[in-house]
Amino acid sequence: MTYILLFPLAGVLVNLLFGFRRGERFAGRVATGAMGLAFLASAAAFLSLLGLPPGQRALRAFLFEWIPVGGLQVKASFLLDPLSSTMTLVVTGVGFLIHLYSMGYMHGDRGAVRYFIYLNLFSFSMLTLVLGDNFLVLFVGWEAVGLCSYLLIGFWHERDSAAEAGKKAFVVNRVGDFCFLIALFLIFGRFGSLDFGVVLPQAAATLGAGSGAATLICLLLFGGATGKSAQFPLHVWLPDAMEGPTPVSALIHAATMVTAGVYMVARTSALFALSPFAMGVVATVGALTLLMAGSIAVAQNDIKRVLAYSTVSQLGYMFLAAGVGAYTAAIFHLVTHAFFKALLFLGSGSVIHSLHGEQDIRRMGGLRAGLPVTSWTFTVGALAIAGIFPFAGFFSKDAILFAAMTSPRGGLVFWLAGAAGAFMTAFYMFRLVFKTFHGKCSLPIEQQARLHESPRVMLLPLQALAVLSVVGGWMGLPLVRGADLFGGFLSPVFPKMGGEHHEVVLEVAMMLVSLAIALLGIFVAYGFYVRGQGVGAAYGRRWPRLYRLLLNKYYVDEAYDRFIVQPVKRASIWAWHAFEDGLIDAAVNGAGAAVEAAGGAVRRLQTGYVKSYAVAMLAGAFAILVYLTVRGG
Amino acid sequence: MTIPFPQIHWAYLLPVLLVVGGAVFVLMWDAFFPQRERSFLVTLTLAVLASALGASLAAQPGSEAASMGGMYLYDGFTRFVFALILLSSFFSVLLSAAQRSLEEVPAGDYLGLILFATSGMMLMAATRSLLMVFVGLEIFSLALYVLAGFLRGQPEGNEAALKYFLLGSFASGFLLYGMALIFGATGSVDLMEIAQRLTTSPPSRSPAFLLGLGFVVVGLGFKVAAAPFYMWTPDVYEGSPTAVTAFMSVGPKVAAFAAFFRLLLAVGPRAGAELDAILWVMAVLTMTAGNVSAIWQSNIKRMLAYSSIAHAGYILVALAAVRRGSDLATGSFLFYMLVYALMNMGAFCVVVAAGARGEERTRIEDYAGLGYTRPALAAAMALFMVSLAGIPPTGGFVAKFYLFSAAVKVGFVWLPVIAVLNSVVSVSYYLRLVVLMYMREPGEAPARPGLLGPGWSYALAALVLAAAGVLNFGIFPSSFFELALRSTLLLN
Amino acid sequence: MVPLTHYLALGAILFLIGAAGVLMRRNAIMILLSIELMLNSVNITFVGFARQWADLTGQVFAIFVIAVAACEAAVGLAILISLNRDRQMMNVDEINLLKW
Repeated sequence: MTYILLFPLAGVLVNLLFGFRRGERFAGRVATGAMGLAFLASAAAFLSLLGLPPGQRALRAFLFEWIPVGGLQVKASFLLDPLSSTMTLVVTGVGFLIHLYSMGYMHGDRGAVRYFIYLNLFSFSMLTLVLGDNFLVLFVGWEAVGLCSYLLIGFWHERDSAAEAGKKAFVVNRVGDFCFLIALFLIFGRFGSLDFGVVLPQAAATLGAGSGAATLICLLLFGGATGKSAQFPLHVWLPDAMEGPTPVSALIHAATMVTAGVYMVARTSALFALSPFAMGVVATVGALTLLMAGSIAVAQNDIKRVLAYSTVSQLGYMFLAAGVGAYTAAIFHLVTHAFFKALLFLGSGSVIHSLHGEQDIRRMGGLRAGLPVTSWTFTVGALAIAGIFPFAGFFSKDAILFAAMTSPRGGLVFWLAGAAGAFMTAFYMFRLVFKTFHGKCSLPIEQQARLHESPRVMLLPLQALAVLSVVGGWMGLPLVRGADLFGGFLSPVFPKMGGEHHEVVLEVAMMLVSLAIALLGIFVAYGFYVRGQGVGAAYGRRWPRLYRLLLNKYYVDEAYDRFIVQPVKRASIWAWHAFEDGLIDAAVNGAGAAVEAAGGAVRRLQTGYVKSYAVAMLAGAFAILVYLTVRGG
Repeated sequence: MTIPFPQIHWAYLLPVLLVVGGAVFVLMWDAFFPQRERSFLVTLTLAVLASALGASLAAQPGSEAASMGGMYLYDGFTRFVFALILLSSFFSVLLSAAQRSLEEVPAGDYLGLILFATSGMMLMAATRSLLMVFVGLEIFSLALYVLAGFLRGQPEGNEAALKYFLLGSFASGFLLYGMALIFGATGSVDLMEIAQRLTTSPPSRSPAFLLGLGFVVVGLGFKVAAAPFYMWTPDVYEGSPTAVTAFMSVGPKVAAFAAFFRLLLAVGPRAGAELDAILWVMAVLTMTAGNVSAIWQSNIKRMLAYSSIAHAGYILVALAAVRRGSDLATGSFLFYMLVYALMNMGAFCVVVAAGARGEERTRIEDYAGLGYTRPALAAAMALFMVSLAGIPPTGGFVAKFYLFSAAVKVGFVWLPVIAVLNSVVSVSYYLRLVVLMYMREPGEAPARPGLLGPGWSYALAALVLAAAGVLNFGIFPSSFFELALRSTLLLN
Repeated sequence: MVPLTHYLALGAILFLIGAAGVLMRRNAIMILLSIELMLNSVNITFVGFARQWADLTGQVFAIFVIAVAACEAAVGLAILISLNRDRQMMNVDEINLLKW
């Protein structure tokens, strides 16, 4: 199990020592090979875990005593249980594919060797995060992934916006880290330990259900999670983080790092179980985020920004699930999301790559002909995220929606939020698909001529991820007893929530409803971005009934436009400006500016004159003496 | 009347004697054989420091810890602090040998002064008597005043020396006046006797005593660069030769904090409840002022100066915890100082080494693109910055963790919270340097690396030592922390 | 016999005069002298307390202070000379190359 960690680290070291001399090809191969080996090691670890009886599936690897604090020990040790095993498989599996893809994508970039070092370092840190057996090791990984993300966002540092984005990510994540650290100290203060094996089982006995301490700790932990996982109101950094290379967006800002917050909440579910209030906050923030980010995604025109807001929105789903106690569903969605969001990002990277850096979807269109593989894989990803049966997203999103409705902590409001989010997801994804790959190409002619599909090394991961996006959901089949392998594997990790008996009729009905919602979203997008552009006629001949339906109900389109699309668009633009620019940016920049201004003011005291220093000393001495006289006299 | 010959434990005294003897020898040698190789004296000085370190590590403190009526006290705490001081002197000698601009100065005078300053710090830390605290403090302060302005041709150096001298003497006045008042209130200058008289005799906490304590806090606060007595620090650090700055940022702080600790351990539990608020406010002001000012700096030495102020603020948190009687806090302090010494020395070492081939590189802008021109140096600097910022898995993180959890344990709530908030803010300016080194192209075409100066090997040794230490204490801190904890056992 | 309070009052007054001198004087030498005044006020306080407690420690302390003050004056004057050579002046209000 330690091999999982060892391989990426070895990759970093080898590339540090030889990479710069041997060049980009070598570095890419080493890095990718290291990830491949790490994946094999994770798979082996997973199998050995499966060999154990379900109740005892936890392997611990103890390395050494790390920090002894007054008689208590913090160990450098790792824990492999179903939860961390799932995470390692995702991180190494998707990570491997993205490494492979990067070999093509970064080809010819001057900083490619550096890039692969960062990428391996990131994988190592992320694995440390998910494998850590106590809060402190988790925190080590937490900080390290933040650092790598920071380095990779600013990777193309020639761009000013990249530097600016790095700074924003940095400031926002500081807020989260601050909450997390305080939570650590509180936990340490209350439990006298930071081991998961000590804290989590004793949580109920030490803190007491519903106590203020439990709520405080949970809220602080969740504060950390909102920073890392880009939840409202700390989500602002993620869309800007798209300044990094696209494979990085796929790996760090979609598939793995941003899910660290979800993982952390799931890991500490025993604590959250003690505080219904904190769980409510988690669910509410999740629901709010998924609605807000989803609506913003509708109005974006940069292909990566759409995907970024979509990521924020999907992370909102995961938190919604976690907040209503459906941790299995949250992790399930995390896994499937890793597949299809990585696929979508890599696909968009392929588009950007072949268009030499163009990211505006208004200037794309009709790329299906030039980029067939990218086009179909991207469509698969879009179907998956929209939640169309039998693609992966259908099962995981359905699990979340079902839990949001039926869980004792859920309710109709959460379900409505999730359903509305599902509609928006389908709508903006297919808006993207239609505008990018269908319709008339709005590129200049000479660029159209040069249009070419990406190299094989980039297409292979796309195809693999497309397959995963289709079949990935089948490991959590609902309805059939015993077929929910995923849930069965994970559930021993999480606290039991009441009322878990499934009513088949209800579940089927809800599945159909959510499927219908998703189809409706696609349909609306189709109406607007295909038909609206006049090329609908061609489609109309192929599907005459659908065409007629659309044609005859043209006023529905208008109604849609007036009552749905325009308001959503307006609301989305309003939300974008109000939240992003008005509120949060102002807060973030304000905090930064306040610190800087304070620095400026304090610095001004530093006049350079001996006398003003002497005056300050005297004033300080005077204050101390007066205080002592008053207190002691 | 016969005067009893004071009891002397030579083995305990040996480290100090070695350093003082070495200082005299180095000074004399240069006077008599001025033509000799400079490297000989450097090696000699290093040998003196190393043997003093060996002697202090070899001398296991026993029950008879006090020599000469408490004037000299050799316990576990002393031993650890000696090691810290000697280590920082060792580093600064290495840095001095590596620094170009110090090549022309008379080596005997310079090294002699460093050794004298070292002996002063050791004496200040190893005593129970206020008199020796004062004498030790003056020994090292006087030496440092001179060292600050050692490059006489530089107006900045002169200015640094003058400011340090004037303000330092001013602070000494406060310290002394406080000592006089404490003596007046208790009739003794021995901390143990003072503590006893505070408990037994009725006027346990006379106003005079409290006022005296306040004056002493001002004087010591100046030496450790606590707010609002820190203002000399950035100017002096910027103006002094870099190797001296490195020395000043560690050695005197260790010594002054050690004296501060002894004072609080002696009088804190009995009479210092009023000090709680003062230490609290001082800690918060110090770390905040240090951190927010550091953000603005464009000179790296000045930035490191503010950073060292911020770190003094964190250590004041430990002081506040010690006041409440936490052994963990003393251990954390020792460990923190150890890590701080290494990472700070390491950072200054990079500053010296980056300029070793010619012009000093003191502007932060000068470090743009260092990751490409000199990758190893930049990697080391990044490590030290990450450690100073307190990010795992470096020693800086572990040290902060100990320190803050000690504060949590004695019941402080807001103090550690503010400290964590501060260290979160501090990350921005430390990482700014890292970003600059790795994400910006070098400003001008990098000067063709010339031949490495003779000092390069010294800088390399210091760098490797510091980097290994910082990493080691980040990943395997336990044995040294145990040692630091055990070093506090014989206190009181 | 002079009562203790007189010693202490004299010490305190001298200390304040010295501190005020540090703040008000411009010439570095005068500042140095003001600091010496502060140190001597400490000596008077010490000696006064030593007599009060009939304990020689206070007087010993004062002698140490005198010795250290002499060293301090020597070092301080050396620094001032070096500065004067460099800039041909002694006014501390004109010395602020290093700031902010």
